[in-house]
Amino acid sequence: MNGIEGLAMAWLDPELVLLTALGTGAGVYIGAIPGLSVTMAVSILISFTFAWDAEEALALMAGVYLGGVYGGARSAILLNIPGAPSAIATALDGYPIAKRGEAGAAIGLATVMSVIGGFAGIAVLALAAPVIAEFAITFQPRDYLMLALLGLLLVGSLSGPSLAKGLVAAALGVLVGTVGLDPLTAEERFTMGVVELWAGISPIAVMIGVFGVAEALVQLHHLDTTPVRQRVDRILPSWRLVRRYLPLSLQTSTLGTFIGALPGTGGDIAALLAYDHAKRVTRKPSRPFGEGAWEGLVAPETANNAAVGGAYIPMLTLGIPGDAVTAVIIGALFIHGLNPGPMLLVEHPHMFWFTVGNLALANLFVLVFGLTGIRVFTKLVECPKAVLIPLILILSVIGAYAINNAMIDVYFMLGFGVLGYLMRRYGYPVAPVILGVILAPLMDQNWRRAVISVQEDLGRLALELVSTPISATLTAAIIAVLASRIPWRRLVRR
Amino acid sequence: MTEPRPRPSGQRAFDAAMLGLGLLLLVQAHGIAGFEALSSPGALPLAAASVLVLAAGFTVLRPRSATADATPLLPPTLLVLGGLIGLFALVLEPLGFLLAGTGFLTTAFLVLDRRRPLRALGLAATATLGAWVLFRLVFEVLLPEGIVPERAILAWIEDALAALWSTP
Repeated sequence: MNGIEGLAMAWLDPELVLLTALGTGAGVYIGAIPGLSVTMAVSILISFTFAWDAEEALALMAGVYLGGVYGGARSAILLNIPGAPSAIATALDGYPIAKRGEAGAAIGLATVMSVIGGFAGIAVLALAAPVIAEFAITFQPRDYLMLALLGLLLVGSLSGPSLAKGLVAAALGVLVGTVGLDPLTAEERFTMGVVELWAGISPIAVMIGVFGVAEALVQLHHLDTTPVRQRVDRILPSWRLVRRYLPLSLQTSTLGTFIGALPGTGGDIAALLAYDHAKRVTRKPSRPFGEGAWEGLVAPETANNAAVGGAYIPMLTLGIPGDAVTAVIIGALFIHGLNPGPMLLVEHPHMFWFTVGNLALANLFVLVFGLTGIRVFTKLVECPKAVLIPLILILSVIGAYAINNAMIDVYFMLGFGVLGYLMRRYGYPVAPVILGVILAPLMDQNWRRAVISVQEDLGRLALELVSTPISATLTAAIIAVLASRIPWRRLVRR
Repeated sequence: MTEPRPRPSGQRAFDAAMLGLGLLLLVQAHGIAGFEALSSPGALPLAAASVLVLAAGFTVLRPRSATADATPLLPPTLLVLGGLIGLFALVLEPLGFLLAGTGFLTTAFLVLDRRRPLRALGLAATATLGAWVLFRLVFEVLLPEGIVPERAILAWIEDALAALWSTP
C-alpha cells in the first residue's frame, strides 16, 4: 500500500471514520472533565486495542488526543477549571469572557481557532516529516543515543521546576525499561530471581499506573471543588470575529507547531508561550489581558492544537516522542510491530500518510463536536468526582489486566500508581518516567552499537561526538540545555 | 522578598527514599556485569543508576523551606480507597469482574459520595455491567469470570435470541 492509499484509507474506510469520530467525540469530553486526562485515556486505550489492526487503534487514539487537547478549553471557559494542562492559559481570559455573558462566542471562537491550529500543525507534519526522516536515515547509533538523551533531558528540565527531580524521574524510567532478560545476552537485569520479571515490566502497566491511578489519587484531594456554571448563548462565532484574529492565530499556530515538535514539550508549554507571545505583540487588546481579551483566548487555543501535529514529527521521524501522549502512542506503535523512526516512512509510507489523513479527519470532527452538544456537555462535566474516581480506578485495573490477562500487571500498575502519586505530591515530574521506559531499549541498543563501533574506546567515541555535524549539534544542544538550568547568578554570588 | 513555598510534609523522607532506591539499584546494576565492558548488559543500568543517585543526592542536600505544608499526605478517603482497590485486585480473579467490580464500586460510592446504599448499589451494578458489555463483548477483552458462570449465561442468551429469531 502506498502513501496516497494510506491517506485515502483514513477518509474512505467507514469503520476507521467511525472510530475517528468516536475517539474525537470521547476525547472532547475526556479533555473537558477535570480529573480525566488525555494521557490517562490513551494509556488505558492501548491495552484494549492491541488486538486490533494498527490503523483502527491509531484512529481511535488520534481522535482522543486531538479531541482531548481541544476539550480542555470548554471547562476552562465555562467553569474556570482547565480540563487539561494545555488549557491553563485558556482559562485566564476565557472565563472572564464567559462571566460577561459571552460564553457561547468564546467556545465557538476557541473551537474554530483550535481547528485552524490543528490544521497548521498537521500541514507542517505532512511537509516536514518526510524531509526530516530522509535526513535522519544518515544518523549513526551515537546520534540516536544523543537524541534520546536530549529528549530525556528536555522532558526532565521542562516538566518541573527542578532539573534534579526531572533527572531522578528520567533515570528511574530508564532503569524500569531495562528490567528483564537482556535481549542480546539473555543476562538477567533487576529480576531478583523472579521469573515473572524475565519479560520485563510492561510499559503499559507503568503508564496506566502513573497517569491513571496516580491522577485518580491526586483528585481525591479535590473532591469538594464545586464549579460555577455559566449560561451559554449562541455558539457559532461570527465571521468578523474569526477574521479579526486570523493573523494572530497563524502566528501562534507556527509557534505551537514548533514547540510541539521539540521532544519533551507539549500543548501546555506551547499554549503558555503563545499567550505570552500574544501579550507582547498585541498593542491594543480588545480588553486588558486577564480580564477577557479575545487575543488571550485565541493564542493558547491555536497553539495547543498546533502542538499535536508538531509532537507527531519527532515521534514518526526519529522515534522520540514530542510529549507524554506521543510517548504512549509510541508504545502502541511498538505493540503493533511498527518501529517509529526514519525507517517507518521508508518501510510503511502508508502508515505515515494514514496518520496525516486521520489527524486531519479528527480535526474536522473537533469542529463538528466543538460546535454542538453543549447541553449534554454541561451535564457530563458536572459528574461528581466521587463517582468519577472509582470508575477511573476500575478502568485502570481492567486495562492492566487486559495486557496479558495476568494479575502481575495489575500489581505493577497499582505499585506505579502509588509511586506516581507520591512523586507528584513531592514535585517529581512523572512524564520523564514514561519517556525513560520507552526510550531505554533504544538507548541500550544504540549505546552498545556505538561503543562496539569504536572498539570500546571512549576517547574515540568522544571525538566522533564532536567531529561530525549531526553528533556535534546534538552534543551542543545537550550542553546548552544543561547549562541553561544551572543557576549561574547564584553560583557567581557565592 | 517572597516567602518560600512550604514543603509538603514528608518531603525529606521521600527524597531520602529515592536516594536509598537509587543506591539499591546501583548495587544491583553493578551486580549485572560489573565493569566488565562498556558494551556489557550492565552498562546502561549502571549509568542510569549513577545519574539517579547523583540527582537524588542533590535533591536531598538542597536547602528547602523550613515550614511544612499542613495538607495530609494520606487523607482518610485516600487510605480507604487505596485499601479498597488493593482488595479489589486481590478478589478480582477468585470472585470475577462482575462481583468484585460491583462490590468495589458500591463501597467506593458509599465512602466518597455518601449515597444511600441502594442507590450506590444500583449505580455500581449499572456501571460494572456497562463496563463488562463494552470491554468483554465489544472490545473482546478477557475479564476474570470467577464464580459467575459468564460463558453459560452468554450461551443461554445466545440460545434464547436464536430461538426468538427462529420462532415464526
